[in-house]
Amino acid sequence: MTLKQFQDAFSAQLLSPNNAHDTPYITQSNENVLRMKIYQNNVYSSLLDILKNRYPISRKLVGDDFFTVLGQQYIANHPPESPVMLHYGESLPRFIEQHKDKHNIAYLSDIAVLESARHKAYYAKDNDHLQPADIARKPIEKLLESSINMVPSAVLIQSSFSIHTIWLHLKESDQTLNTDISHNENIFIFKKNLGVQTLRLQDAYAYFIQLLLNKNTLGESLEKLIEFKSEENFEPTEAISFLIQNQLIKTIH
Amino acid sequence: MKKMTKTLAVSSALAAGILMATSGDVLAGKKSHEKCYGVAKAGQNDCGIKSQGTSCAGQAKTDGIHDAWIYLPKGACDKIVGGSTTPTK
Repeated sequence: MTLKQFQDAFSAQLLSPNNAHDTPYITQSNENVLRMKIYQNNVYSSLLDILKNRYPISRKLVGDDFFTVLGQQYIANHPPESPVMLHYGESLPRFIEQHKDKHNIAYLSDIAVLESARHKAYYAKDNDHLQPADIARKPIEKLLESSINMVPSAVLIQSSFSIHTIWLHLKESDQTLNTDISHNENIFIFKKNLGVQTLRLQDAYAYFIQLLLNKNTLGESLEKLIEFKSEENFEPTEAISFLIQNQLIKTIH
Repeated sequence: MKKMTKTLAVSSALAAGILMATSGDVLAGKKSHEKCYGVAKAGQNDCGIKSQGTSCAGQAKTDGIHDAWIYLPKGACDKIVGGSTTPTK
């Protein structure tokens, strides 16, 4: 038996606590079984703590008991792939989406996407953006034909539910939210000045940002935005200024 | 002709947007902020707690650790009870 085979057998036993596995070199004495249980418990509860910290509002939505079971199933199926625990739990929103039938909360995975994006933005590189003066120096004709790379922390979530309203409410309160949550909301998350911004965007802004994220040039995106005009009093000029003032542009090419 | 007007509208929107964003000092960024010690909530510090041997953001274990800090807009720190722009003992 190689070390690798031993490690594989050991981790299989560690991750499925209810199935009996024979781990070679570990005799199934009472004491060893107990020790393994203690170790298992520590691994599960530490990983669960990481999930609880990353997804506090999702946890609040489903309640502690449900979140614990959900977390345990997630841990068993998606053990850490990196020793850096900062990244652990990134695929939880997809796991929640796949298990929709068990919780019946249609917007739960969107809330988890929002929380995950905030977590990533918090730990994203600081001041990763192009300086406004450098943008201003480029000729307008050149800019119109360029597409932009946004800072990596920038995530746009277009949900069919009012997830920004729900998230804001649950962050501050434990009470039930008594409003209609079935209208769509656009949430834009990014890092600015060392802090995480969680903004709710007008449809026109979201449309424009989505065009840019899809690598349309600034010229094409602005042209489509001018045609879009869903909201009254919306100025395309402000959309450009929004990008620069919020330090969202990483590179222009 | 229509194409021409459209191009004009697009480029003037871009030019005006850049101008709007670069005028004034809204973009002073970090320069407008300063470290404020002693007021960070547990888990919400921006960086560096000597007394706890940690140098990472978000690791403060309790509220208001004397040498845990957060960035605040200049001047705001002096208005907060317990806030200080230098680490206190």
